[in-house]
Amino acid sequence: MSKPYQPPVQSGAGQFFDSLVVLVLVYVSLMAPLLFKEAPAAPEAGAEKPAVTWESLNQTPAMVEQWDKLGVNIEAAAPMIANRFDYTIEPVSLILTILVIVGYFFFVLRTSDREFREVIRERFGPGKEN
Amino acid sequence: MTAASMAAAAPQKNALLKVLGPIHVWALGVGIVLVGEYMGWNFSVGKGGAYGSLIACWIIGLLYTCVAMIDSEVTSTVAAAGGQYTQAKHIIGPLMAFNVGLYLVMAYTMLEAADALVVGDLIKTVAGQYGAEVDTKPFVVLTVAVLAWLNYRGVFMTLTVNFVITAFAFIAIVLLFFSTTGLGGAEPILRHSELLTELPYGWIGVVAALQFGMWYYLGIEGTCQAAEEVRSPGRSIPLGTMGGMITLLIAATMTWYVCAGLMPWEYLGQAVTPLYDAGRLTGNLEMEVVLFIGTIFAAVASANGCINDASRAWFSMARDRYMPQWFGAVHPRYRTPYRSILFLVPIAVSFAFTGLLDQVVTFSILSGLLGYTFMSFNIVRFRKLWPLGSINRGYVHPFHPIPCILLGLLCAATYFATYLGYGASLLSIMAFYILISVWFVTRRYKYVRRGDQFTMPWPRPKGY
Amino acid sequence: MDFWTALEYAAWAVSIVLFGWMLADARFTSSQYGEDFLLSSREGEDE
Repeated sequence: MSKPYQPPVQSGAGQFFDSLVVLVLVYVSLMAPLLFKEAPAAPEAGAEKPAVTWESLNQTPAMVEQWDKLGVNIEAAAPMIANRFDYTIEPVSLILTILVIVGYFFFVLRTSDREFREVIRERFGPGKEN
Repeated sequence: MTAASMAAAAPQKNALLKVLGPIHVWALGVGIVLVGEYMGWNFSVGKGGAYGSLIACWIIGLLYTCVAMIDSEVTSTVAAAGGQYTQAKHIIGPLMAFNVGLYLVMAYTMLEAADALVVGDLIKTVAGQYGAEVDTKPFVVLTVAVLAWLNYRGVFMTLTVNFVITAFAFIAIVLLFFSTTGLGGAEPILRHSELLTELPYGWIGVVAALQFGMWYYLGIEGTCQAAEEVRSPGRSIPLGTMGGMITLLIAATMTWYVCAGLMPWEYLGQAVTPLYDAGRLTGNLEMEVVLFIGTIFAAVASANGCINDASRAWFSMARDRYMPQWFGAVHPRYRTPYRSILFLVPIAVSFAFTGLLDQVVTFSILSGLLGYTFMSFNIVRFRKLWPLGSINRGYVHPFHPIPCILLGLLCAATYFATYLGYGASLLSIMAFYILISVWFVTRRYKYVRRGDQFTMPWPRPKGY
Repeated sequence: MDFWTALEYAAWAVSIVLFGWMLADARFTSSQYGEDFLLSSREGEDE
């Protein structure tokens, strides 16, 4: 049986600091993109502003009736109807995203396996090592 | 009794209690998830149109059926508070387990934030109908405060309460369905033929809609978190989880049918409380009130389950020193992971305060998705390292490896779906997990007792 | 003060009371019990 690993004991201050690090990571990587997200491009506020009608927004009479019942007037509805997602696939960003996800799992699985062998060795003793 | 005499008394351990049965497992699973019918699923309409959302609902239903099957096997065999975190420790390794623990914490904490956000928003909407303008923040904070307090005080009470309010929320959906379709005797008011349109983005929109299709079911795997507190996990977990899936499939289809028949897709695609809106559109005050209560109940039941699950995942990690050990404390009187409960409160509240429901929901979905990706290869290793018969499995899921292959493919499709339109959120959450993994390896793992991480009474894994 | 404003204040008040209670109880528990006891639960153990 291999000698069990003796971990250091962490002080209260150290634990407190580590807790802060976690919070900072959560806020920086998750909150920051939300706060700095660019507001959707404001519609040109110019003299030429074509009158928006339900027809121009492709709404049938039945749809208009439901918008009314919901209490949403045409000014509020127009951006909801007009704002569309952009689904163009940019090869560079797609490949980057795939590499990040695959790379992440690769890194995690490789490192985990190394650590796992150590755990099994300590728990069950040295066995046939691969 | 002083602290000294307590410590000197019989060496009793201070552990979580085993009091739960299958109905509690059902309540925990469905309770966390049903809110997804009350809010958030409809963003899939915004991404792909009404039909896109329906197709996404069923395809993702398939993803979650695979999850339920696979998860029931592993969870009924690994009955610990850490759920998938504990599974990962035993089957893949510490760093994976650390990530999985965080997937759970973030998925549930973000869902909790979404729930609180919706409660605040709903109260603001109702106040608006009376001409008043209220701030959502105090109601967000109140929701979290009450539920954190309930969870702090004890698990049995919270899950029993969950059962009652979840049942009400489900019945409310059924009542709305019967009322609007005319099956209940009232005038049918659904106008599918007039409101449904062609796919607004074409078939790529259907793919894109998969992202929020997750929201109909996300959290059902939370039944695992109760495992350490369940009386007979081998029976209760599969029963409660599969029962939950069936309940959710019914609720999701009814919800889609009613909402798609009452609201233009452009409105539905961005609504914060679609079922409450549907209730308003019936013109019937009783229905409106029922759906108001249903929304509040669903959000509260969900947030309740989330606090329960997120805190237990955090607690389990702290117990192993993956996170600062201090959080691994169990309250001596209430037998709850009280410090973990308290620590996670500010995160939930601050994200709820952003008011950005679709973004908060996306973070929850992505953490869940990473967890399901993990499940797809975890089960393969589980069967390889401990073949059938080598250990006592509470439940063995059928047709392996079809579910895990299907799960892996559907997860890949959903990452792509998120890339379409939410690519920045996808990258930022990956950045989070990568950075925190590096931190774990360099800074945290040295505090962990290696062999102690393995707590299951299993033999040596095959090949190691 | 109208109904809704009162409701907002009530929500803040109840929240502060509940959080205060939990924080006080957590502090009290730490002072009454040894850390070793509080941190003594073990994963997967039977009751």
